[in-house]
Amino acid sequence: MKKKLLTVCLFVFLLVAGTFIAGCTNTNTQPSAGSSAPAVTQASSSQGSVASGTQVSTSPKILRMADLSAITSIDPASSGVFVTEKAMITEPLVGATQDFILTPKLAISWNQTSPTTWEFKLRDDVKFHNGKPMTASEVKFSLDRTSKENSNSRQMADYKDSRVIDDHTIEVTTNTNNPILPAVLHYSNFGIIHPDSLDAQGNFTIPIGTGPMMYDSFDQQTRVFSVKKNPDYWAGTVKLDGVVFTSVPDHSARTLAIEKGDIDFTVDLPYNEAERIDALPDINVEKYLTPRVYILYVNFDRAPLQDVRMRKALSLAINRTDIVNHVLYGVGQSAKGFFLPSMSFGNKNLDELQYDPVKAKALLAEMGYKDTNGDGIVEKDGQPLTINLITATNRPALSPMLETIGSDLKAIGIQPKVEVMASAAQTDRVKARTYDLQLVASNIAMVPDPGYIIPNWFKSDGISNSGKWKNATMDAEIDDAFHTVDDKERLTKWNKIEAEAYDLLPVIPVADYGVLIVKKDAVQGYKFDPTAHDYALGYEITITE
Amino acid sequence: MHHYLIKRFAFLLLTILAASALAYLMLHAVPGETAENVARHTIVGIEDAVSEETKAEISAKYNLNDPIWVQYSNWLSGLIFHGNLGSSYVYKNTSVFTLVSLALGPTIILAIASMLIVIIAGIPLGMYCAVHENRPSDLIIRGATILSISFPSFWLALMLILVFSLTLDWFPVSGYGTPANIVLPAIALSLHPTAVVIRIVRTSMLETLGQQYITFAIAKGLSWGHILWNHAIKNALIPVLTLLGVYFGHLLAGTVIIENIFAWPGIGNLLITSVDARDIPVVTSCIVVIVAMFLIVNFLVDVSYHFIDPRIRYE
Repeated sequence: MKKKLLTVCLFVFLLVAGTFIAGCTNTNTQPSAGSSAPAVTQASSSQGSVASGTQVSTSPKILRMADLSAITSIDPASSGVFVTEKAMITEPLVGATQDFILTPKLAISWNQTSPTTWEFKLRDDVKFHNGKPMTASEVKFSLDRTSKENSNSRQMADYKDSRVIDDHTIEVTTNTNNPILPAVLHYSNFGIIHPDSLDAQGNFTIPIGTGPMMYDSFDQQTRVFSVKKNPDYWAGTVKLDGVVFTSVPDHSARTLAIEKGDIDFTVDLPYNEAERIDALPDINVEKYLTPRVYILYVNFDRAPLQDVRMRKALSLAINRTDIVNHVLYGVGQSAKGFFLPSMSFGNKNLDELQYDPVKAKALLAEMGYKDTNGDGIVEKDGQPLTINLITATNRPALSPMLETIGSDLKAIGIQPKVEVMASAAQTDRVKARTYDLQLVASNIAMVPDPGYIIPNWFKSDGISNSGKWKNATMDAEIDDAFHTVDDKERLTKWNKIEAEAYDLLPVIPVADYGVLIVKKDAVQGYKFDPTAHDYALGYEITITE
Repeated sequence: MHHYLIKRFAFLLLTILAASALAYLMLHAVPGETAENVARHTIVGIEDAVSEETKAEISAKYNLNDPIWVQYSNWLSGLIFHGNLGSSYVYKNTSVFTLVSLALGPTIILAIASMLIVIIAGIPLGMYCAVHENRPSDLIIRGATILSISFPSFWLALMLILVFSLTLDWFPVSGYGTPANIVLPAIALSLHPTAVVIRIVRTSMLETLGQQYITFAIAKGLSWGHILWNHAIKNALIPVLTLLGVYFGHLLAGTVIIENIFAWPGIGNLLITSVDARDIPVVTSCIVVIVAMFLIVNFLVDVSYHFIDPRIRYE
């Protein structure tokens, strides 16, 4: 009898403990009205439901949005891409047009007052979500905090300090002359928050920004995040009443969710599904280019790749049209220069990279590579020409694109060795220098200025120069361009460097990255923002019944 | 029995200790630098380069420059002396205890729901097949079990969504929180073990029904139902119970693919995200919880043998 009792007790304990642990933690934080401190409430059992969504569908004008990955942080200093661009809670000082030209946002103007100081004039009609006006003090607080919390943002801005001059003027000091500071302050991590976003101990609680949407709730269990309309938005009338953000990581499940009507808006369905989904009566699919390129990083430790003729031969061998049509299903386009055609600062005189396998073979022959044994692979000094191509699995097109490039190289007599791996393994391979070409989807405009990516890629100590390209002339030209204060003169210098790099191919562009925006027909007023990391929502978006 | 319990408890503690140490070691052995991975999941994008300065800051913040054994002993002493599983590197301002406990509930709920389907469908159908050996109904059920075992669970999950969600509009595609949300993931998870249980119960029952004591019971004139439920099933259930214990343990360890498809916020999802971001305290804590649950379930299964067959004793 005792044994029976003991066993039953153990079993009941297991069930109760599990249920208790699951239920004992509050999962949903909601701010109390008029208070900056979040009030913790018990999770609503239905709030976590992506698909049931009956609560949100009955509310007027609530957009149900599903993304790929779960929200890990709602702090704009580290997750500005979500909080600023998608959730629309915070805003940066500087905006940008569709052509990547900087425009006023929370700052109305700026000018460089000395090589290391910038003065920003702020709008005087902006209020935070807690009703308090935005002044230079809050802007200083936000800039200081982002620079402290996010070393990457601090390094991009070269931020040293800032000083409040008056309520609506702030002076920002950089460590060195940094002409791209306004462009860096467009970056979403520099979204402006009110100090009440932090508790008395200085811990971040909820984002209190100036954007068209206000924080509503965040369920820590389901990672479902809700925002609601900011009725006092300074830039205009917000048309939506709120947005509910969920994550459905599986591409097929996300496709089925929008087909069923469980969600209204999503991105990046499988590319081969775009046409079928677009043909459905109540859904439309739009294709856009984002500031990201598929690009091959070249390992300059490898002797054959140090010869520009080899890099040109590799580039000529790649059939970019086929890749765009059959790997990307038209979601993207052949690379023409290192920047997108819409980017005002790109060199507009560059031609599309050619596909010419005959010329590629001729270049190989010129370098002494010939197929002497008739096996279809060229050799030099008895050694077959093998190129080791690597990529990671983190983006769906990378693996099939690399396979296609491998077969293109084989067609001109190069033996490809294609390897696809986890991104951490790829990083190790790059560090160990054991690869020839590395295919990545690289962001080219985290900061909308050529002074961001050109030094990163082409300067010998550039942070993204993983292939270790070294060119003293180009280094000097980049330094000179970076520190040129006159905008027009600086742009001319960047265009020249871009053209030189396009000729020398320290990296080989393949295609511009595309994004699929999938939305119900009821979603109206959406304008794609090409300056966003992947995509952004705007205050003019709405949903009809 | 008391000695047995103490022995099992000591074994549980030792296994947890070994599993957590192994998790720490393995996370340091896999490719990629921890600070770089954390930076890519918190500060820069997945493909973006991470500066040495950023890596140094992250390493200093989370003491990643300490030797592995120092990092591990710090984590372990936090757990033993303060009941603290540490802080996540990736999920900002959230303790690991909160993360794990929030993920545990959905995992346990899904595991129990799936096991109920396995037990309710698997055991009676297995018995039915044994009683109707080689008849058309037996052949149909056995054929269905082969199909169910052969199809991968992610494909079955998508088919279930296609039929019951998109076409019939009975259940939501994915999500968590309402009873309707659990139906499809529970079915998707239970199809494979149900098929295996049907086949094991059938085989085990056929073996039992061939025993002399069953022949004797028939000769005694006992009813067929009485023989099945009071004599045959208890003896046939021992191998099934072992199997159910193992399956339940697996389900409690989280099912990454199914959780991913149905956006189910369970421990499998948390574990895979944390492994990817090299969130060491979360990964180690998830492994400790999973190992503990697996061992507890197996212990309960071991104890339950005694109630089914009183000849089995634990000393």
